[in-house]
Amino acid sequence: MNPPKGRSNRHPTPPKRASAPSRGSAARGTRPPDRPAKPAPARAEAPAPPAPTLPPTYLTVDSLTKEYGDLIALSPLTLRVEQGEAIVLLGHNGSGKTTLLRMIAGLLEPSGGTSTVDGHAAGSLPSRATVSYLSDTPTFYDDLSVWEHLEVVARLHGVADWQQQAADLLGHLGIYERADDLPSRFSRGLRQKAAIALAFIRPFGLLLVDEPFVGLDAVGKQALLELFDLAHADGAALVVATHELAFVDRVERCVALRDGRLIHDGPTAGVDVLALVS
Amino acid sequence: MPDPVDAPVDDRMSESDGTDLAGPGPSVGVAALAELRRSRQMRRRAQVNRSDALYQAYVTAFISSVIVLYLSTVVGDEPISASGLERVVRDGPGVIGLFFAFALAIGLRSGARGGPVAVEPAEVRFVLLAPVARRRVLIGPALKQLRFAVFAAAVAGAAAGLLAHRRLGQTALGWIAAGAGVGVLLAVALLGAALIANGLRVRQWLATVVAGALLAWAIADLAGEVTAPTSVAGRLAFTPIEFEAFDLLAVGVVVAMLGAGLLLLGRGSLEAAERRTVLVGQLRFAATLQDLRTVILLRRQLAQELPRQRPWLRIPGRGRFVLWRRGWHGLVRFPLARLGRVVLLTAGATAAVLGTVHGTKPLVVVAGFVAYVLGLDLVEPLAQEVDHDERAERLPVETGLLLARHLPASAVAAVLCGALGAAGGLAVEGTEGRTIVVAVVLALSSSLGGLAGAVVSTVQGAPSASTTPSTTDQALPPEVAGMRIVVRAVWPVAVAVIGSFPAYLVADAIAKGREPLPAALQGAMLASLFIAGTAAWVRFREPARAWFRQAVEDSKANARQRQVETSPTARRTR
Repeated sequence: MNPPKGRSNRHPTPPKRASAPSRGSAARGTRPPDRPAKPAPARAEAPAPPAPTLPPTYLTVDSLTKEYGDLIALSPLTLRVEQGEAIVLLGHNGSGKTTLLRMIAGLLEPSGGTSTVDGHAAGSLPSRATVSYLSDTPTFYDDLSVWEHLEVVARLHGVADWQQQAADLLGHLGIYERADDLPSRFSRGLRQKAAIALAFIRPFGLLLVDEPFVGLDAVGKQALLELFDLAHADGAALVVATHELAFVDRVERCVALRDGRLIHDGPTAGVDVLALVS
Repeated sequence: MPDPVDAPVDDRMSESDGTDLAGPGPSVGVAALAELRRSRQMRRRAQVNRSDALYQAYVTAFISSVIVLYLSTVVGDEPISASGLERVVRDGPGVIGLFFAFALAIGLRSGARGGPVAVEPAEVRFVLLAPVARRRVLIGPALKQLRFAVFAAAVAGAAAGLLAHRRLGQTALGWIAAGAGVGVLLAVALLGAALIANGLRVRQWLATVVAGALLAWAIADLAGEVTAPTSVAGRLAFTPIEFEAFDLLAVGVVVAMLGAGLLLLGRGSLEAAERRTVLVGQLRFAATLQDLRTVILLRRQLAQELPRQRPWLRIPGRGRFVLWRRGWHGLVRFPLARLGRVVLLTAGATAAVLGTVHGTKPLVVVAGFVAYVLGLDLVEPLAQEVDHDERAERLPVETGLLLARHLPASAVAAVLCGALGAAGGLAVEGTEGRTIVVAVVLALSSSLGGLAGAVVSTVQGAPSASTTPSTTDQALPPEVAGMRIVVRAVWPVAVAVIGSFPAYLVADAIAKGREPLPAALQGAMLASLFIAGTAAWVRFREPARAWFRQAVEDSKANARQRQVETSPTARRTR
């Protein structure tokens, strides 16, 4: 259960993420087939150009709502996220971002509507295999070290050669030397780094991230951004809820909530971000 | 949404048998889980101090023996008369059946709130969100809980059987076996009901309705009106006297309930499980500290009793009495479930007061306790201030004065409950002139006494879990400090019981053929002294404590000064 000795804790390049299961599972045909593209009108002179192939929808949210008694945390919300797409989720405090992410992760029961990941109901066993959720409140076992946490999570998700990957991740986040310490006794920032390592040690097709930059130092923020880029390049879909407005420029699409209602869903280019979160 | 209730069929199948995974095969995760649990258990065992564990076992056995010995003196050892035995055989199954109804009710409500299994928060986040069949994750903790419950219930049942043998005759072994068996059956029924309610995701209101119906049925059975199925299980307790093979049906039903519950394991709500993980740990800790207020508070959180977004009534937003209005802002946001509980507790306290007046005098303690629990609900505005003391400390108002100004709103709410109780009592007893006055005096005294007890409990706060004694404790001899801890736990309930004491005096007066009204007023005078004393204590507690701390410090400084003056060095210098 100890980290390999003699390895450098300085990591020159971001670690390689375990391959996302989504690609294999999508190919197995459990996901409903995509809607065929609308056929182009026939022309006399030239044959019709081939219809562009849209990336498959990976996350489908249909009229999802959450109510706590007479408090409406999330009004009916509909959302599609394509495979390999990265979106930022914006909104003021209490706008429903965390509620939405927790429902997609399967931690919260919706009051109405459905959400599916890769064609499977959110929270179902196949969905759990493919969704990695990085919460805004890191949680750890009291009696396990960072390294032991990584082993548990990696092995629960069937990652065989996890040691190398764990060492790379910890090195990249700058906490390799704390691998044998108990994360439950860490400071807020270190806890966040340990939680990030746990979110990335396992394979995923959809990464849900809630306020990931809170408590992180500049090096940690940079390391996290590199991990996001790597996951994105590897074909995973990302949904990142954050108040860090600088992050908005790094993704293509922005979804904004206000008082539990969807107020914006579109490209980030030209968006008045401050107006969306005010 | 999530599995398995609303999930597509393929998802439900994959949850139950672990096939069709998008990720690793189920055996991979299960093996990792087993290894994790094994290594953590070994680590915990290594950390256990054997002498401490043996001492704990010794203390538990000692206390259990004392309880059994005490109960045996209460029960006595004279054989019961033939008519008494006949009555026991007639009414006993109903009484034990009521226990079964209670067990089922508790189980149903626990299951509807995500029980009975409570895992660690990290287990929810890492294991229950991993692609491992949840039944496999939860079966271990569930069986562990079952094992403990069965063992404890068997021991308690066997002890009860032994006590029954002393009065009811027959063979000791038969009674011990019957007692242990019924104890086990009770534990299994409770856990089975909880597992089923959890697996079927029974709504809380539905669980409460079914639990209420079961209890009502069992009570009606006890009154001889109908036959409840729970009394069939109750008959098993009297197997040494009378046995019918039909009664074994109860065993089959209970075992089937457990089996169904275990099959449904893992189908419960993760949201409820996560909420439970956090609160149950705190709940156990509060129970360990005998902190009833925190236990009740956490149970409210477990039941998701959230204040209403919109109040039932609008309180005018202007006026001088800010804290009075603040108190009502909180009270008029009570959710329906909490209002229902307030009404039920009022009814319970009224019934206990009536029982006391009619001669069952020990019920005065029950009346006081129920009024105390009612008071814990009504004291909410003050409790909010006490629970957020850092806010109060920043205000330019003396803390005692601030807390005391929270009391009138709660007192008026208690008076309203008292009026409701008096009306209920008069509906039963009739509305004769003097009866009305006695009923009003008893109801107000009881409700305000319960509130005073709750105020004491709230203001004194949770007992400290720290091993470092406070300044006050340091100044006291160990025996007195120990007594202080006991008094601290008992005093709030005692104040509440004093509030209900007029009912006792009325019962006494009726028994002796005297007028009940003077007795009621006499008791109310005594109770009002304690109620007013409680209000004064809230107002002047802080200044009094500051004075005491200063006195202790002065006394220590004087002692040090005297020591310096009488030391040989000082004498030589002189």
